[in-house]
Amino acid sequence: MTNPSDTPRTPASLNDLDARVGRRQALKIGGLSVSLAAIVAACGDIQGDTVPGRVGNAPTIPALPEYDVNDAVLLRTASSLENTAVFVYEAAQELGVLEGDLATLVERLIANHTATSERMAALTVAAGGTAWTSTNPWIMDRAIEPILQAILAPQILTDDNGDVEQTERTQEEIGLDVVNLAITLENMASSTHQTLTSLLTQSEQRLAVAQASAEEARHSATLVLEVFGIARRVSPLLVGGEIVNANGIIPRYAIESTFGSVAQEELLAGATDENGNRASFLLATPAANSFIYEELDEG
Amino acid sequence: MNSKGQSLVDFEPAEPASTRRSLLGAVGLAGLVGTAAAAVSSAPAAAAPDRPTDADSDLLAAALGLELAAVELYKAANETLPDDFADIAEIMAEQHEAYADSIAGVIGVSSAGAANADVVAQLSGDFATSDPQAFGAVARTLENIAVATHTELLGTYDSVDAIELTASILAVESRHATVLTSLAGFAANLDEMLGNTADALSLTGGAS
Repeated sequence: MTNPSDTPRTPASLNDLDARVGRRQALKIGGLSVSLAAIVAACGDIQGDTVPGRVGNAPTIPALPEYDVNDAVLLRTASSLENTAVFVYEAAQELGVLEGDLATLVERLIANHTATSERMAALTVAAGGTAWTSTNPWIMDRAIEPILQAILAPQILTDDNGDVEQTERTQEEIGLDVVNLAITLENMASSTHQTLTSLLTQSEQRLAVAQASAEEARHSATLVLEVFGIARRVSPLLVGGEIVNANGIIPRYAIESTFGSVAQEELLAGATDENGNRASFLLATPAANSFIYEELDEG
Repeated sequence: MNSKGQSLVDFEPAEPASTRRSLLGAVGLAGLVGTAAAAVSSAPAAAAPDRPTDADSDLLAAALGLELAAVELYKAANETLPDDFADIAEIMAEQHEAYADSIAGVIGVSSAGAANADVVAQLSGDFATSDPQAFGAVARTLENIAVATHTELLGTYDSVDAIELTASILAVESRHATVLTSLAGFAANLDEMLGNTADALSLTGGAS
């Protein structure tokens, strides 16, 4: 005799499944569906929270204050950039990497930036603001100081045996980096003033920043010609060529574009690593995070 | 570091800054006296129109004439200068042509045939030279005048488009002036390299 339970079970077909849903099960499924539908219908008018979801018990993020960006703020920011340029040039002087005609040029550039800063300060006061007499803290913290640290840091290389070799940079190497920083900073200052021409509300202010933009463009071009010579008069990009980094450094030219650019600029500086690369920094014209708002004190 | 520009040994500046005003008088550009440039705009930029006003368009048309004059002059120099320096003249011509095209685009006119005839007539002889240093001297004068003119005009414009375009032009024309000043033999003269004492042209509006 064969026990029915010993009969081999074959997989059920879809038809078999339908056949095995009895009346009792159909009632259960139907009841559940009705219940779920009722719940969904009851919850239909409940709105979800529109703020981003939060995980854990972190405190609620406070709303950030909104500060006005007016003429005084823009002019204070312009002053801060001028003072930042002066800081960089004075740092270069202290490093002792400027000699001869370049040292003379830098003296003149310091005088020009100081005069422009004072002009922006006077316009700030005329606009009802308080003159800003120091550097731009955002740009100093996030650009200038890291760049100067990279420029002064020794070259650290690891050989095939894993031994670390540390080599101090030469004055010439440091000087070249400082010059490239100065050119980049002059370009950024010129771009900033160029941008401000259409943001400031008074003609006298617009004229002042237009003149500053033109003068700082001359600063940049003069630095290029002084240090790199007449071969750097015009960027190859303007005559269908390409720019090739030399020794991990972006070459600069007296004339780099047809129109004044307000794009961010990359600076490669510091000692090279094992692959011949240098640290990369991006410098951009001031924006909301680097404006010198009226609420910001120098003290 | 030493200057990489041309030697200034025994070089007598052919056109020191103090003579630029006399150049303006000599070329008869002072006759283009206008009142528009003297009328300083005080319109808040925030409330300023994007598109040029009628007054802006008149002044931009005059600036267009100046740019096209520069194109003609540099093209003339390109024909007479030695190769390396002809290339510089060609690049300058191309850039001024780009400025002319942009100005024409902003005010909605054709740039063809609108060069400032007075500027061309008075400077074409000096531009048609085979001497790079002489070319540098006259070209830097033109660039400095162009920068001064655009700067003065910028203070009179009401529209954002006119202000932004002009600011982007004068920033690079300043670089032109510095490069050409170096070519003219003044590389070691920081007053000439970094400064601009040129007078703006007084433009009545509309290219001649």
